[in-house]
Amino acid sequence: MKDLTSDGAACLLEVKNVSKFFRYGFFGFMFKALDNVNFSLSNEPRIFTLAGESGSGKSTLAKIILGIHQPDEGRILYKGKDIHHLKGSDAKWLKREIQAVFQDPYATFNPLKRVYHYLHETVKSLMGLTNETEIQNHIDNTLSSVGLRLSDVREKYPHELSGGELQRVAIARALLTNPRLIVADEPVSMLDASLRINILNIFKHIKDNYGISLIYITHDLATAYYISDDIAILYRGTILERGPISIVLNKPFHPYTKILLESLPEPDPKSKSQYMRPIKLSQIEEKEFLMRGCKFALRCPYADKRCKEETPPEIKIDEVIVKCWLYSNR
Amino acid sequence: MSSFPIIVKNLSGGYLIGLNGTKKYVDAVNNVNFKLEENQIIGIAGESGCGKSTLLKMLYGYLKPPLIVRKGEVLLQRKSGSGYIDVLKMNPEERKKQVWWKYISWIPQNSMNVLNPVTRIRDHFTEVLKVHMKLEGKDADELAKSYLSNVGLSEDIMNAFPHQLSGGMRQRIVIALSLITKPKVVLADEPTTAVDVITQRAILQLLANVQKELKNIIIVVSHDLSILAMLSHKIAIMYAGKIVEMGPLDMVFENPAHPYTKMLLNSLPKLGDKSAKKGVSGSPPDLASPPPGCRFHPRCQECLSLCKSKEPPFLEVEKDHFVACFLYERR
Repeated sequence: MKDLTSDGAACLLEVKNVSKFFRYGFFGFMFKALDNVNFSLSNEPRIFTLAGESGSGKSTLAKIILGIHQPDEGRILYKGKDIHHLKGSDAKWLKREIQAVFQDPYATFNPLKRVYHYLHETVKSLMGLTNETEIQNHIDNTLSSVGLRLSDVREKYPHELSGGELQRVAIARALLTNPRLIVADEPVSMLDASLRINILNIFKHIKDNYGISLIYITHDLATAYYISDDIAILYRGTILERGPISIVLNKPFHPYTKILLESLPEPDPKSKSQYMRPIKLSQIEEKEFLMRGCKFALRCPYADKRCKEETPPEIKIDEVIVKCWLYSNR
Repeated sequence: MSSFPIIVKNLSGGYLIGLNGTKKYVDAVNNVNFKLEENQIIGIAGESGCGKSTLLKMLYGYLKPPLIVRKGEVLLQRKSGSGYIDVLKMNPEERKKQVWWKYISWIPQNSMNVLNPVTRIRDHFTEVLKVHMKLEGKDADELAKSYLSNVGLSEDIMNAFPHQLSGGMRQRIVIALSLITKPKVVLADEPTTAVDVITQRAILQLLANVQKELKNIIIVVSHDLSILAMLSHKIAIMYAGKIVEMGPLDMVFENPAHPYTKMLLNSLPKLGDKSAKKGVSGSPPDLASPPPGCRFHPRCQECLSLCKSKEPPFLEVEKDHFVACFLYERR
């Protein structure tokens, strides 16, 4: 427990060799939902995207960072402290520092209570405010930073607000504790395309104006590109490539990132012919999770024997880190 | 001369909901008109609640309360050159036996959940082929297998139960089922919602290939303009129960006419583009009491005083490119 007191941490958040095991069924086999995941967030405000498809482990990782799940191996340091071993006031401090926004705002709020109730509770229990006017002012100020007013939401139940409005209330709720880091798990995928950009703009705004870092978890690379500084591409529990988003998505190294980018539908009929070039689909998810070597080897056009047997090392190419044997001779 | 396998005339309908003794009518589809030429894919785009799924149900004639049709016709031509039948006027039994599957098939939303959980995949195919194609035994099996391989699934799947397969696989099976009877018109409602981008690409490629082969009409509904841009030949934009713009894909994307379409296209983030974008402000109207005049006028930045009281006409701004907006009236 020495780390608890180590000061002057260089990073805001460090994810170190994190693995998480799950079991298929009760007597089923174990598989690694996360396999030795490493990344860190620097101290300056950044938006970091964790991108992956369903089953890549991105939500599991979010839950571990939020302290909902325990990692089976490795640890997570927030400002130098291991978040899974905090107690008492330290644990409460962490709740204020790291906040969450989830995919479905209608599932976030209790449908039988006014949304104001939840905001009020959050301020009272985490911020220790007791004076009613102080609480109200704090809520009103926070709501205004997401473009809402207290008078608009005060008497409203969740179903009386639109999805976009309710998601904004959810973001305001996260902001109430003056956090330093927000973990947002697919925060716009439930919303209409025309409303997504408004929510994304709010995240940009809070990063620029309040210095809050964001871990943006998504399968949508276009929205990720719009708001993020850095990206990590997850596949079957492993980060295959990570680095500044403008490099990773414009000049990808890993074959998986390349296929992913090619498969992204674009609102531009000109990319139609490229998009319609036939591709190979995976059928055997179980096998991929249990692979000893690179998890993408079964679908990779460049895979050879080594890829199927040995786990590729992390290779640094300028600012990008890629896990692929193709680049091991550099 | 081109023929039109499906013609929709003045179609209006919605949901009649009983509420504390009073009846409330939600005007989900209002005065929709179009003619579709054969051999093409049409994309219908719009926000959630704009009536696009309701429109598909009405085209299919799937009229279960509280959904009602107030007026209009859905005319279907079963063979080129033959006369039309009105899908909405047929009696339900006849519609089921004579029209569904054979001439028009529907891939509903969340189609991964429509398979019978206690029936093997093989039996799903057997039933459809027996009833609608009069095919049985080995022939039916062979045909089913070939369609499964078209959607990238192996034959072993024939013996599986739906719950043993992933969502993407089930979705592909439903698509294979809906295409196997070679219908003239296929209606697909958000065919790729719950699958990852690579599976999505495979499913859309499949739809495109089948369409090319059968030369039929596929109508795809989605809120995602990107997938429609990759797939369709023609696109219609729906807003609050009305089609506000319709035209060839390239024209609508390169030269959008309706203020709503413009805002929608401007709000989409693109890879490689970090410039600040603005979303469509406001929210769509409550269709139980839609605004008078043009239904988009409360959110429109180019709104004229005329728009608030009168319904805009459907104007042709360039060849085959139509828009419902007063801004183009004086041309």
